[in-house]
Amino acid sequence: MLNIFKVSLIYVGIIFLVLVFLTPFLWMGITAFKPEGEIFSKTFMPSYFTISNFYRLFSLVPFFRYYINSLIITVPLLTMSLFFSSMAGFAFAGYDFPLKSLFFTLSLSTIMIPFYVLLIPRFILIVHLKLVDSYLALILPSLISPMGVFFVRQYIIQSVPLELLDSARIDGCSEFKIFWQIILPLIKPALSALAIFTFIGAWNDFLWPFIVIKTQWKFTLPLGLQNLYGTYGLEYGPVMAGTFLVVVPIVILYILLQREFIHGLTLGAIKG
Amino acid sequence: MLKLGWKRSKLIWPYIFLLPFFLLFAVFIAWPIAYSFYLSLFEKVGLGKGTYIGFQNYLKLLKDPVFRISLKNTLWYVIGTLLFQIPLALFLAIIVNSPMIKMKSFLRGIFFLPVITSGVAISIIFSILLDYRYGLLNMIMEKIGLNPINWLQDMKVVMNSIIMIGIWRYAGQNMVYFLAGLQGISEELYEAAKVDGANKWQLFRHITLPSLTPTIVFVIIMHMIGAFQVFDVPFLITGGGPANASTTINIYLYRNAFTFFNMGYGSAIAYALVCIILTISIIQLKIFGVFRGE
Repeated sequence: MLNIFKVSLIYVGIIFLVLVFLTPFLWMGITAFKPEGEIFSKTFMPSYFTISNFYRLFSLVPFFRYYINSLIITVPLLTMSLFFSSMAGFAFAGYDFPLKSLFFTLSLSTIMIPFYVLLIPRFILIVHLKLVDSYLALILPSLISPMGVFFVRQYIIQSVPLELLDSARIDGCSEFKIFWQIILPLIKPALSALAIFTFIGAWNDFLWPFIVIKTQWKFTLPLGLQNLYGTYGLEYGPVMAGTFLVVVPIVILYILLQREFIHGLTLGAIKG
Repeated sequence: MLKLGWKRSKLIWPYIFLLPFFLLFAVFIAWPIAYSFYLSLFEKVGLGKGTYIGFQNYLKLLKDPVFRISLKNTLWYVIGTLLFQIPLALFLAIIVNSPMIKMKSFLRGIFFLPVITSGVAISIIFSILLDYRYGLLNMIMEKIGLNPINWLQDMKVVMNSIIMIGIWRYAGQNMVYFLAGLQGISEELYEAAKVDGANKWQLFRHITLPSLTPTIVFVIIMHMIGAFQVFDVPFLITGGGPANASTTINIYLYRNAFTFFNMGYGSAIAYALVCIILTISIIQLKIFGVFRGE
């Protein structure tokens, strides 16, 4: 008897927690599909669902363009940053060379530094390079990640047998070929976790684009969403429709790639 | 002989592999860190050449009432989120790790969802959810007979609302760390204690908690480093208002640098933040000292 009471208490607690975590999302989703007249009515569920908010959204702002912009930035950023991180990580894990520990300490020690310290100098730099309001301004500074280098290095040290490389060398394999054909395939699990981590960061980034991008046509999704809310904040319907369209791709991605997500976000631990 | 020849000709390769990374590192990380400090020694508005004023910006900072408020708000946020979020995250991790609970990956996904959601989306959802007149939360409070609260415009309440959102947003992240910690505890420890007749609470108190200590220290340090940098949610929801009641250090930094274009003073604020974060991290590592040998 007592046991049943205990178990049901635990379940009630869990359901409460689930509601607390889920309600903001549910409410966003429901509002996005609510008919205009019922947005401010004090009911949770609408009398019927409609996609008119989405039509209204697309007539207010070039929302589809924001998607394209986010992709234009994220794709090169992701591939280049993974490439640079794995090369540098491999250099630290697979070789002994003069000044190695100096380079390594230098890059590692910046991991704890808050991003906001870089903000002002980076902005001044972007202004001097005449890159304000360009995609390049969004891509360039994020191409490297000391965290990523550290992560790749750890992974290689832990799980790649370096004797393997020596035998490849005896067979006449060039160093770049070793990196490209042996190392890269072996560190795929690490790279996919790193890719998720980098992707989430780039996809959701707000402050830096907010500072350097001025033209609406070049807005990324978070920037476009913020602009939508700032301009049409009282139109809850289209605003929630826009929010829905920003959140949903990430949710789908999470469902598809759960394991990489959890792994990738554990990396974020060290970044803070 | 073969080996010697190999070494000499290949010695260049690690540098080639490091080159692209360190070129960009120098330009976008190392130089900004140094230049930011240099800037903080200047009275500099806009992009023009400023005048060197030594540590005047830092002295001004000590006396600046708005900076004090922002420091107080940020500390309040760090402590408030810490006190509630760490136990909550641990609790979530225990739920998700428990062999008795069904649908674990579903639950884990739910708790984790806010972590991967755009800060802008979260800010918009909550500014509508917490709206005084039309917000869902006040609607629910009225239904159960409570007085509505002006979550976002009452000076006394607003920072607590921001803390509430912070707890909700990042609990899932810390849950993941705790989950990793919990899964590292050996089953045998529990089995042995059960044989000795320990109850659930005793198991938690004498096995789970001590085994998790390194994880807890890690989570607290990481949490504080992150929480001191709180920016987007208060910036987007309240802009730091009303009357600076939710202005955090980073909002004040942003305002000085990109609204008033006072790059020198903004840099001084940034360096103050670095000092605070480094000091607190070092103190914590000294106190706990658990990372030795790890």
